[in-house]
Amino acid sequence: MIAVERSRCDECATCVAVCPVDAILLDAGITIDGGKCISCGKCVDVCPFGALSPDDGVVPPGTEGRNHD
Amino acid sequence: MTDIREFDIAVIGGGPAGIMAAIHAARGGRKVCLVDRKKSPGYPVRCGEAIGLKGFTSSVSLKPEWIKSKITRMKLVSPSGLAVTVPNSYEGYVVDREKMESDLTDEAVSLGAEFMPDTSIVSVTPADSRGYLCASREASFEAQCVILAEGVESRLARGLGWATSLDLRDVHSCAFARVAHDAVEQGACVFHLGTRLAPGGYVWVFHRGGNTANVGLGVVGARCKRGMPKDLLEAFIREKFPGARVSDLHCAGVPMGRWLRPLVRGGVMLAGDAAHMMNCTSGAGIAYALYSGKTAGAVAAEAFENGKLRRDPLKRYQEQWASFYGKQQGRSYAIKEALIDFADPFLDDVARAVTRKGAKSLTILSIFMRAFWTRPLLLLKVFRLLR
Repeated sequence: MIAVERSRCDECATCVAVCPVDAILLDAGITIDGGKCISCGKCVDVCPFGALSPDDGVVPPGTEGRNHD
Repeated sequence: MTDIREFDIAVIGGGPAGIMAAIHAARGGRKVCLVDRKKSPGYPVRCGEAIGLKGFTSSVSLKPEWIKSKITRMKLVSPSGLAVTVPNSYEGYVVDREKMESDLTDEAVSLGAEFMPDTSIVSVTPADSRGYLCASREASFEAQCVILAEGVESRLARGLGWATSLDLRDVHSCAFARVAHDAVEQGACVFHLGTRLAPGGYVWVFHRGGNTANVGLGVVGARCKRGMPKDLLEAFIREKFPGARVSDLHCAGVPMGRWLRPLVRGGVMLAGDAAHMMNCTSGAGIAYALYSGKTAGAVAAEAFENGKLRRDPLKRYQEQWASFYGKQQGRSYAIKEALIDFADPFLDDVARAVTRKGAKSLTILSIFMRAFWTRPLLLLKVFRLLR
């Protein structure tokens, strides 16, 4: 899962645009649907302001450095 | 169950594409609504605000009160700091987008469009054979035709079957700010290239009247790490404009791929960033957005007969887009893809070669020609991508 730091979020929706599974909703802040999220980390990498981070501080095994499929 | 309001054409998204769509749909005599998530149009501005007059005026006549500065020259700074200045051969300006979008929204409203600010549409679903239900917490309504101009997130389009998710090679993660400093060059659009400053992208400094400039940068998604654009922007401003007054720090994702096909499905049309319309070498999107919105709105209005939408004529929108800007975007994508693998030394080579020629005869085209001359493989690659 991905954690959102709301105070850093500028609501630019870049994370929504790259999410491969449509797990992110922007509506008065970002909400991530834990049921859909596959923890691929694309949103974490592209967020210009660094508002997203892996929840446990660890990138899931096998996905590190995997920027695009 | 309350009565659900009905529109002929619903435009979702109040950026340049959506506002133009609403203007031209309303001008065609249709019952139109323009919906935006934000309270006021055009804010915050997530953009460098530079426009070329020719592309701009093919959709909108430029009002003097929108102009913040006239662009007299372009300056490219290579990774090692070699500057190449090109006198601007096209008339261009940096504009106040907030003012522009506010004025254009007023125009849409004066033509009869209903503006619904502060309204988030959460889903668009086919309601019956003729229309769509646009649902939000604030107000749900039906429309026979929906123009999606929701920006880069393009999430409603995804819900209707478009593959809008951007590959990380085809998105730039951007941060930008307004900077006030005496080192800002008057009348210049300056581009700084180099991996140290902006991996896979560039930094721009566009004069915006007085001693202020729009300063921003984009990093290609595939090389971006958490928060990198903001950190790099702050470092650049500290280095080039020490002690500057910095305001309006914002960020954005810029689509840098091919435009989405088809542009029309059933009674739904895509426009602007939502359709990934962008010049992929320059990152310029305003003219594309204005034109696509204008064309989508006009084509949609014309497709009505006796108050009913005929869906087939909507396809003319894609034909018009493809021949007006679509081909140009295809070329810009090919050049971007070809350049992406060349490293900083190549850009320095090109800069050295063109400065030797003397500045008088320099044009952007001659710089490209020099680049191709320096690396013939580049030309081959562009041709292959264009096929």
